[in-house]
Order: sequence, then C-alpha cells, then structure tokens
Amino acid sequence: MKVDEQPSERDVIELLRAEVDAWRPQDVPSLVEVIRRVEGHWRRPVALASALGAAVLAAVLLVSVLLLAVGPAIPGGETIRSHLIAP
Amino acid sequence: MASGEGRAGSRGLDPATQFPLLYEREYESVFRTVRAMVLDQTEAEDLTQEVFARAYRARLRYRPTAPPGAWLHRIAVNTALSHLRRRKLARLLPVRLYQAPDERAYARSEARTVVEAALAALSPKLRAAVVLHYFHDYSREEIAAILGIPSGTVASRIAKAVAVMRRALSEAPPGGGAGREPNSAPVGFEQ
Repeated sequence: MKVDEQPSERDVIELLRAEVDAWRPQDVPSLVEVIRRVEGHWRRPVALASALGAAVLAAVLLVSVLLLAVGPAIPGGETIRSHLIAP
Repeated sequence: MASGEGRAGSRGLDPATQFPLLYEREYESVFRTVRAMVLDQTEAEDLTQEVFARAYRARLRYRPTAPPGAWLHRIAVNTALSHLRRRKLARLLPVRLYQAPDERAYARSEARTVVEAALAALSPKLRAAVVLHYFHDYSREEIAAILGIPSGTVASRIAKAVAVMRRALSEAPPGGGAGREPNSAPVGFEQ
C-alpha cells in the first residue's frame, strides 16, 4: 500500500537532521570583512543619488542651452530666452 | 554538530559588546537555516554574510526579549525571504536586468538529495519552521516569534510540512535526485 511506503515521521526527522548537519559554508569570512562591507553600505546609495543629481542638472543645463540656441524658433521662446539671460 | 548546540553556546551573549563571539558561534547555524530556505549553497553563503552585516548594524538596537540566536535567525529568515521575493520578481521581468541565480539551483536538481527535493516541496517559511524546530530545537513559541506568525499555527504548519516531506520522500526515485518538478508550486507558499 502507498501509505506503508512512506517513511515514518521519525525517519523524516532523522534524514533532515543528517542532511542539514552536512551543510557547511565553504568559506567563513572574518568578521573584519563583514564589518568592512557594513561600513561601505552607504556608499552605493550616495553614489547613486549623486549620479542622479548630476544627470538631472546636466539635463537642465542642456535644455537651457537648447532654449538659448533655438529660442526664437519656438512659441514663447523669446520670453524664456530673455529670462535665462537676464542679469 | 548536535542540534541546538550553537544556540546554547550563544545564550546570554550581548550582541552590542560580544558580537565577534556571537558571529563565531552562530555563523554555521544561521548558514544552515538560510541554506534550507534558498536551497542553494552559493546564495546561502552570500546571504549569511548579509545577515551578519545587517545584525552588526542593528546590534545596538538588540533587546533581550529573545535569545541572541533567535534574534539572528529572525534576521536570517527575513533576509532570505526578501531575497526569494527579489528572485521571484526577477523571474517575472520580461527583460532580465541581471541573471537571476535561481536557475542555477534548479538546473543542478539532479545533484540534489532526496531530502533537499522534499524540502523544495515546501514554502520557504515552512522550510524555515521545519529546520528551526527539528534541527535547531527551537520551541513553537520561539519559531512563532522568529517567523512573525501566531504560535498556535506553528504546530499545524510543522505537522503539515512533515506530511508533505513524507510523501515527497516516498515518491523520490531510488538512488537520490529531485523528485519534484522544478516549476510546481511548493506547499504553503501562500503562508
């Protein structure tokens, strides 16, 4: 019968314990390495935010230059141009 | 190692002042829990480091309402669950932004043992509950605190998990190997 072919609960637990006991990390890094990783964790988001800010600023500058260059060609461009170059 | 040995050894340690000792005593234990949840050696090694990195950052916020081992396992379970959610999301993305590592695990399914195949039939939370209870000897109340679920449901879930594992083990082909299709949904995934 199918039910009789199933291992008992005890067998399952013993198999599980033996299996899990055999799992070991191949490499245990020193705590110093882990701490170094923690100390550097803020760098990535800061670098990302900085890059994003720089990209936005560059885009604004580019749009401004374009408006200055082709200002008269777009409706209302002359007004914007006068604002941009106003002292 | 006897089950729960590391746990007893770390009892009473203060993560704020004795973190190196806690790291030394609990590293393998946390690794095993994570390994049981993600079912991949390489991912488990990376995630275990992440767990200790998170724990180190949070060490000053530790309150002795739970033993430090249980505190670490809670961080481990949350880290592994976040990782598995990211992995699942990456699988749904039409254009892969990065190579999700989950395929490695299933591609090597033929190399997995019958026990791993039986564990794969469970949801990650059930896997964690089974390993925490039967390997690390945590009580149902402690597991409830670690998993963030009511303690009343832990026993029924563990019983359900064992029943699923018994069935999976009986269906496994002789000589080892995975007995489950990689794409079939694990039991208890909704939990």
